[in-house]
Amino acid sequence: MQKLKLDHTLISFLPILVFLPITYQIINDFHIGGLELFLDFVKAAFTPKINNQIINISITRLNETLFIAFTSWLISIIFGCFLGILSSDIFYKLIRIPVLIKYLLRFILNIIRSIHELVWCLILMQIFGINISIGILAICLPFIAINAKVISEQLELVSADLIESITTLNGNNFSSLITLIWSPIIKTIKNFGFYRLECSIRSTAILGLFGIGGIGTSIFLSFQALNFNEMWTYIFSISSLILFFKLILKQVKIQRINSNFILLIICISILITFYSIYFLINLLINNYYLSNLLLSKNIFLNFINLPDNYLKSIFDTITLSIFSSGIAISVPPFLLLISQNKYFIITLRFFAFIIRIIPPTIIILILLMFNEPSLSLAAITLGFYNAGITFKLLNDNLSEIDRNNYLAFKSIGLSNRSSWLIGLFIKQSKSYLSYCAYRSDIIFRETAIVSIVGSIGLGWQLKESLSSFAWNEVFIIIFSYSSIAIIGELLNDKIKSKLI
Amino acid sequence: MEVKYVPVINYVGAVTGFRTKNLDLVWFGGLTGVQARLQTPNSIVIAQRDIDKEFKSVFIVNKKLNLTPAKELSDLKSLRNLRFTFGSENSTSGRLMPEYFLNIAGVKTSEFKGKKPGFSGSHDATIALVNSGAFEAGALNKQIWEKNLKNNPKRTKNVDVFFVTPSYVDYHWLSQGDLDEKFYSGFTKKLKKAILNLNENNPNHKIILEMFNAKKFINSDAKQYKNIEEIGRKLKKIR
Amino acid sequence: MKSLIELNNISFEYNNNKILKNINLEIKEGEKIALIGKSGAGKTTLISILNGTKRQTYGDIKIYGKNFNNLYNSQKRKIGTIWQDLRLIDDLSAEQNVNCGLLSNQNLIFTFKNLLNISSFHKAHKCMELCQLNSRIYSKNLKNISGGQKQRIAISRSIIQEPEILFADEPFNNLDPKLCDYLKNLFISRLNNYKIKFPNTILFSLHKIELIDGFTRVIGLKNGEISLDISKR
Repeated sequence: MQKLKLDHTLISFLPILVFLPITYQIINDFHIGGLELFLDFVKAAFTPKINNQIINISITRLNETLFIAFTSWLISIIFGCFLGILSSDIFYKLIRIPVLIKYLLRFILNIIRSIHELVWCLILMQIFGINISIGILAICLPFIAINAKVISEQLELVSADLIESITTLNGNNFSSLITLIWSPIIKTIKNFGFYRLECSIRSTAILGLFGIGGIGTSIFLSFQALNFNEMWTYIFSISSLILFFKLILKQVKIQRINSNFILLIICISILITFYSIYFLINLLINNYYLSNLLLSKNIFLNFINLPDNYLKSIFDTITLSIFSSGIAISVPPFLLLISQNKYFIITLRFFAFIIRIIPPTIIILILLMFNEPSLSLAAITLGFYNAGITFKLLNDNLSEIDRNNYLAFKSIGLSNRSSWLIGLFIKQSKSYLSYCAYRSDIIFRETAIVSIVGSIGLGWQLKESLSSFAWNEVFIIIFSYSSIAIIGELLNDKIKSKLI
Repeated sequence: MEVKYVPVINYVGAVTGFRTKNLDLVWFGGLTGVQARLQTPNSIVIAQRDIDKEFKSVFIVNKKLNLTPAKELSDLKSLRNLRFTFGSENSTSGRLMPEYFLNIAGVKTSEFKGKKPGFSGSHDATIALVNSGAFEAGALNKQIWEKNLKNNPKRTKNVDVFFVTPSYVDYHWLSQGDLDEKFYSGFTKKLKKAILNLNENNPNHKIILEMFNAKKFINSDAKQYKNIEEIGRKLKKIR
Repeated sequence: MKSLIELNNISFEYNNNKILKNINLEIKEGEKIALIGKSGAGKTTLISILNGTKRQTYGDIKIYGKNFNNLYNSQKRKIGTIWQDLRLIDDLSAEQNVNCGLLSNQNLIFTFKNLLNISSFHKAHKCMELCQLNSRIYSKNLKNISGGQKQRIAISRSIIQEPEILFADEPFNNLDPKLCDYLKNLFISRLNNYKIKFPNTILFSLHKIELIDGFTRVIGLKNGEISLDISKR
């Protein structure tokens, strides 16, 4: 047993080895060319531009961001619930419709989920033009699929015994279904739903960098004009928005939800549902370009006309996600192993927060000032961005567990580090790793973000093909993204089931 | 008549906006204008600036390289193995034409350092990045380069002009073909006349013309852009 | 008296273990049956076969003269069960759980109202009062409720259903002897002040032999076989 635990610990640290090739490449590619510009960038962080005009712009832009984020969050929760129920086993146990629908639905949702919202955004923008509703749609699609997956997974936890006891009452099947799924759904929305709002704000900011509007667009415009002082003002304003939401959500601990409130929510949800469906149908029906596109024979998986360097792009993308995952997995435990000093940890927490807030797109653009665009550079960006997230999780979990073991090992004379490792980390390593396995699915999808900007892999290819309106290439790239993501997820599920 | 200005920050977005008829009249670059026209039947080239008939790009390099300026096109070869940046992917003067001239000189974009060129996103950014040394060389719109040279000496102090390209046609106004039906008959003609009649001597007009860096707008038609279309197809930016 | 349920040569196997062997049994309307036997004798399995949640390996069972599959829904609804492991919904309140018993004869709107906590709990409260539950726990979440109270909530849920036949698997677990006697008499006498119809036919599995007092028939189960069947007249 002890040996097995040590294995998990070892696995958490081993990926640090990815730093060998990464450091090698970074050192090779480093040049001091843009150092001056970089220093400007850092200096500007301490002197953000503040005047009436820019505050007004920030407020208008934040409003836009909030509108996009909130609307897409709401819609994705509502549809996520519906589709989550429709793709759960329990639904088909109670309602007599062909199980084939479940598999079909899960398949479609998997494909939608495997593509990052940024990729959705670029494609939809190209087909329907730039407006806010396209941004909302782009965020909604993968978010609905993610929420649906979480909801249906939670519904699988309803015990067979409970199902049996309610079904033997022989009431209306829908009544039985709703009675059984009610509490798990409310619980999931309470625990998971609000976290999704934060994700939605962050995604809106990233899509903004690609022109969808909101604060992200301002960040990008001021960055492009190399107006760093202005850019920092916008970054600080989006950070304070996210912080503000976090504080509020910490305060609001809903114990018992008022039933009138739920009733109101259900009514609003129904309205939103109908409106969204109406909007979507309208969007699809009136678009001749889309129908022409879908009708043309050359579009679907025309593997004869592969984009240039197609295989290399795929290889790069996979390597990029492996390297980034390696960083995201190994850096947090490694840093915590170095020292358990209180101030050191506070500093780490601060940096983890900062790195989660600045969009990875901007980070890689900064790094590009004194580095060649390379796979390692993209991996560093994406890896540390995600390490910010895994660090937070690990640190939170470690602070929750009992420290007695740690103190006991220390009292028998073990060093700080060894006691931390044996007394604290070992207990967490299993759950940490299984979270990391889940995180690496996300990392693969996020490669799109850095890949588009950092001239690496499939994302780059996607942007080139889109700007040439080469739809057959676009389809091949999407197909590749999606299939790699799905295969990766299957592999990770295997890993996770071994860990548990 | 009410006119609404819609700022669009990406090139492809403008093409799509035009195709979906969310935009009636767009100021397009050469390449994006052709892309938009191919996707939007009946659209009409309204006018171009005086300078667009003979537009040029410049290749710039960082002074530290001490590179002797190119005398002829084939000298572009000495840009090989440098850190090189274009402007935006779909820019005619910041990417398409420079890449075309590089190809003629026998330089492939994969021969730059890092096996790929950078894309700064805008002409101004190209200057700043080359000036700072983040990139060693770049290509951009000649007119924007001259404007920066005049107004922003600090930003251009580390930059030398390496080569000025031969001329080609670039920017133009493109309008939807059905504006007469949408507004009133004769509208398109009137629009064209209004644009062509902008006069430097009228102070109000002057403000507009200055923003476009032009002395006046001149007549233009789709035929002029045949060459751009061919180059676009050659470089796979038009399929 | 009319015969309600007939079991012919019922056997049940699970992983090659014979849990029930050739059970023949006829249950008549109005019978109050105590099913006794040690744990592992097959009591729970027998109840699961009777309420249709498990299928026998051999033999056949007729309820109201029909196979289980051929029963009308209206007939199935007249069969109630109290489960040994209670099977309540942890995240709902006591009264909401009891109201779930009404699912069998109420519509979808009632379900929503119940889950939203805005339905009428009048009948639920009556049933809980009959089970001597303190009114303070009516609206409490099930997580904050003791085992004995949960047991009575499960009983209330079956009472509110007003079934004709009730199968109960160790319904008096976790209850003190006085309460056991009180509840048992309630089911046997069926008398109450609230006009609630108690099941006419009941089969309770019991582990305490003291409790068989008052039942009209006692069936003993041993190693999956009926070892005892006594009717008191």
